[in-house]
Amino acid sequence: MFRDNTDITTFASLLSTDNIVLFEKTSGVADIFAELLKNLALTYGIGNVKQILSGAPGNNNHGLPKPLNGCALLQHFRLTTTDHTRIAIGIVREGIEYNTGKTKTKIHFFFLLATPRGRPDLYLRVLKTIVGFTGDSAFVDFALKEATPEAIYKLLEKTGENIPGYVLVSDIMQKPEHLIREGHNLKEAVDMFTRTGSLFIPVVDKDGDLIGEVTLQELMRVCLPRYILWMDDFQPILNFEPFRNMLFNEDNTWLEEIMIYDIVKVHAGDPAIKAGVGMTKLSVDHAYVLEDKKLAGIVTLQQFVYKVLRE
Amino acid sequence: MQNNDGKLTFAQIGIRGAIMVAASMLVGYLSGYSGMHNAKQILAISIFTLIISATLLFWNFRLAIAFIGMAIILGGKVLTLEQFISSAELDIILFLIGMMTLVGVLKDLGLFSWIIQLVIGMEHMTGRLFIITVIIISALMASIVDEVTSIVFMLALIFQVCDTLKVKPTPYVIISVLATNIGSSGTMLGNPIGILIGTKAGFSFVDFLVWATPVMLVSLILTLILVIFWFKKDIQVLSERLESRRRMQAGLGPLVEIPYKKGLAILISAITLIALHHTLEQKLGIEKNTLLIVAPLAISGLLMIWKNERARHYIESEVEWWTLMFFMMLFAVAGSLEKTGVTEQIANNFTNTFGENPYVLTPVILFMSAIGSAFVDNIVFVAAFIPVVNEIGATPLWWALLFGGCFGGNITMIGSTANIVALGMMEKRYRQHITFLEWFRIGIVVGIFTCIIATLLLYLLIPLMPATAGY
Repeated sequence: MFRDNTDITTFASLLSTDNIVLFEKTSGVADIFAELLKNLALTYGIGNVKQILSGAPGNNNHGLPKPLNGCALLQHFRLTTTDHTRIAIGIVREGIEYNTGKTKTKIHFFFLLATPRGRPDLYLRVLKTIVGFTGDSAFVDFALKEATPEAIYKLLEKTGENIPGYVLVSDIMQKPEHLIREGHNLKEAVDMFTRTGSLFIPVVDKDGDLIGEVTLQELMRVCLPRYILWMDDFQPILNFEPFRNMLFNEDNTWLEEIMIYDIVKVHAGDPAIKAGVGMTKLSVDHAYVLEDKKLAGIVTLQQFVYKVLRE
Repeated sequence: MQNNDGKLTFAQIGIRGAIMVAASMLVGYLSGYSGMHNAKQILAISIFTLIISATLLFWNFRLAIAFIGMAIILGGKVLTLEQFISSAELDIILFLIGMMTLVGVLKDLGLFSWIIQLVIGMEHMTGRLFIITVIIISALMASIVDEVTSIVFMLALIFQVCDTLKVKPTPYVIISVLATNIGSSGTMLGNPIGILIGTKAGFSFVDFLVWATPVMLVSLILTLILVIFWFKKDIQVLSERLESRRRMQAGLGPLVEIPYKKGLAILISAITLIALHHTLEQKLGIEKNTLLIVAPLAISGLLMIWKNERARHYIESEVEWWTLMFFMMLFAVAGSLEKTGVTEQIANNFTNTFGENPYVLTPVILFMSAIGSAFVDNIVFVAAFIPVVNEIGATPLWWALLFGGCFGGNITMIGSTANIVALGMMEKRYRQHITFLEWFRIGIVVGIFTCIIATLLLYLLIPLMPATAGY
């Protein structure tokens, strides 16, 4: 039976066998999630299903379900009508074809997660746990083979999967898409900025250790230093005169000259909030995630806010 | 003193508040032993101590405490409203408003940008030449505009050079502040204490050029030699970086053609008018120092008509209202010391202790105001001392007060407004603190050194000075 989850420790404590529902492969994804929502509403009285689905004030669910490990979808609702975290699981043994935007994949598990609106941590903590066991092929195989609510619940109980106490940087970071080596010059950096559309590029040394970054903001600051900004008159700079020097010298200007060393560095195992605090303290919009001085990921302010407030 | 951005805990506020009130009460109590038995005298001296303590312990609350102190003084009938208005030195406040507005217009016109470009565009720049340039421009700007504008402007130059060359800015920031404080003693315009002393003693702009500027210049040159030795390693690194940058044919920053002539003409006109104020006042039969006060206001007024779309910005953003309000309260409280006869009593005690020989009183006042200004805003200390010097009435003592107040500000990192502004800018930009000791090591040497030079030069000048100030 359901246990109060104000101090949740295990995943199984968030649901009961009643919240695990088997569906036929003919079911649609939207129907499955609607059914799971009804299930939670009937079992726990989490509010009016129609209102929740229509995104009534106070309840939000932004965007499409989140694909997990190629076999699961997660739909999340933040609700003002409950103080507890609730989960319903839908299972389609044969799987349903689903287009994730990049690829088509067969989805077997449908997780509907309802969290109290004022607890942004709970979603991320539970998400991590779901990612953990949907990525475990032994669990997936067994769950599909023994697809009865009781068997699956027992399995969840048996695995004793713990909900982590807090969200880690590694849970919200993204893989770095590009970087540049310190020996490169300004021209290569500007080329990379224009090619990638990025506002910042991490800089690594010859050993691959992160040493700083170059940013478009700093590039602008170098071209338009404080003493030029003092002037009220735009006439002297009307034709981008301060940028001429940079264009002339970009081939022989080393990255070091426009590099910023004072960057936010966190580690994958740090609490995620540390990245948020670091970004706020330095008034920047990204933090670098290190593993043994090597760049392992990036947390952007946009991603951080989306994860905490919306996803 | 807490950082400008720092917040105090309740415990800190409680402890500091208790210290402040205790110091105020103790000084009030002890004043009875100095011959001050009148209740109004005791109240005036206690409130003045409270404000001094506030600048030391509650930097961010100093204006609030000055307001409360003023209310107590008025409520306690120590001063009447009329006396408050006459003591608040509105002439000085108006002068400072005019100068601050003028500086805002000059900044908009690109004059300061042009001067910075002159420096970063110098072709054969070396570390030593950079230091000499920084010291000369810091002192010059401080003496013709004001110390805060000078330091904000100089730090923009220093940050530009240091960022481009990737060198630590701390030595250059310290050097610039030292030169700014020394340079601010050179004219009436450099430091609020200059205009305060000038108007109180009846000195003209030319008096400052004759008696203060030479002392400032000698002190500056000797300080220059001292800091070149003191920071020789940093200067060496700077020279190397400059040389390598020169080899790459890369400059120190973008250079654009700035139409600086209007700004320069306005500055030269303003300084000329101010410099000639004494002569013009005599010719026009105007009361002394009227033109000195009116000139910046009139020029600012004309500039605000010309740049009318920016006029509100100049008044709202370029004028440091917070500081000016504090000055007004401080002057009024210092006036209460004079009105209640406290300063007369202190002056008597002072002359009883040290005599009336200017050769004895000059170093005493100079070093006392220097030590006081090292820890308390120099204007607070000078405002307290002015009535005392006025009572004694010897000309060299006014200059001793000026040099003590300006040079003493170099001793610690909190010694003058320029120091605090510079530290704030450093922290904001680099998130780096200059430690108390890092500053004090050079500050105490330069502070004492320049005070000794000023004393010796004043000794040489005393026989040439008129016996009493004014004209």
